[in-house]
Amino acid sequence: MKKKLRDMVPPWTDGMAHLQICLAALIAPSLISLWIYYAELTEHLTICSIWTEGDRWVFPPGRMMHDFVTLLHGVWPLFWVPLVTAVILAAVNRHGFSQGSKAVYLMRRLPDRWEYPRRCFALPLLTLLLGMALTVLVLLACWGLYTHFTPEYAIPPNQWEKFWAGILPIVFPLV
Amino acid sequence: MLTLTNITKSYPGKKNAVENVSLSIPRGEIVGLFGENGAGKTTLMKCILGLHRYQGTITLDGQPLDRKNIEKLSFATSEHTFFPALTAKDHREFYADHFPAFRGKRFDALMEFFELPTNKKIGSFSTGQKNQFEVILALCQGADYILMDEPFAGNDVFNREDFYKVLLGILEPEETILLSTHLLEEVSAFIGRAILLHKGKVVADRSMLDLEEEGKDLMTFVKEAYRYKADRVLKALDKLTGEE
Repeated sequence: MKKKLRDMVPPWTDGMAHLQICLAALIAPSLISLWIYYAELTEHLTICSIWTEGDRWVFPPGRMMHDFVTLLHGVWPLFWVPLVTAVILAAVNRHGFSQGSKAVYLMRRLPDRWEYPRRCFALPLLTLLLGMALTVLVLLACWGLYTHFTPEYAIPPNQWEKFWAGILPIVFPLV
Repeated sequence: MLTLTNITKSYPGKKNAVENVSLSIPRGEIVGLFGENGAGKTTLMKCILGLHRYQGTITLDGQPLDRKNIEKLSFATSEHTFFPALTAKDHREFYADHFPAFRGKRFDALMEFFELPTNKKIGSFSTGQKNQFEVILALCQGADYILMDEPFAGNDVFNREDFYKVLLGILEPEETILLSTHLLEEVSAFIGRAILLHKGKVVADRSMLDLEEEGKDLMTFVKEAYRYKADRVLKALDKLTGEE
């Protein structure tokens, strides 16, 4: 495991330290996201409901909970953390091979053609992919909390369509 | 045999850095590659190593150069290709991991000969030591063709002399050196062939034996090939002092 990790980072770097950075960039934003979302959710539930029954809020007749996607505003920026970390890490790794020497010449003529890209991009790419997977998991968890605490009759219709309508401008801001 | 056929390398918006270069370098030769700054020596070497895209073909023993045979080429450059933050010991390990023909014994012997520390980061070496280490790596990779681009830039004359001697002493008959340098007189004693580049083209390619038979030394040959005007300095000085 340690050797495998060592082969995934530039030779002069500490694989464990890189792994810790990547894990921190994955776990911390996920936990903070959930925490922020939970605070936002309970605040909205308090505003919209009249009282609670156990862990469920009771809504007055005709009043609806706010849309799921509107509760995610404080959460979106954190989903970019793994992406930004991955990009910075990849750039630093790549730059390192040309800093102080042209070790990039050595890397580019190694018999294993994947050695150089692996050492530059493997961990950042893994961080990016895990970040995407974690984003989906966190969103699922948020949706789970939303449906758990909100009575079914108070959930506004067309949440799925609204979710996509809300997420697309964030994922593709220039489109 | 390393064979280059019609190698041309051009940079966008500039003249060709290397133009229609064709060469054959058999195993076991020590070849000097000479030329003025910007003649295309470094570019040609980088084309051979696959570090530059180029037009033309380069083959090694009849096979195109690719990942299967790239390990048969090694490279020492004054730009250095080691990892400054690693020690010599780390490099030994890295090379042994990646180059199956790595010559560990030769590495140890050369490190000892040049009295280079094995547990110190290469980045903290002096320029001379860095050059020595760079050449050691190239010589120990286990390559058949060792390309050296100004490897001794920054080394003192004794240091260089030591290296030439060691080089001649350790090279095996199959090992080939392509050495680019401006130090014509220093290397003339141990190269077997001189290739001259001028503005990206090969302007002369002669064996040292031929030159010897013609009674020419390397410097004379180079000056002839470049049509060096010996009186240009005097003319310039005359003109300058005449103006005053």
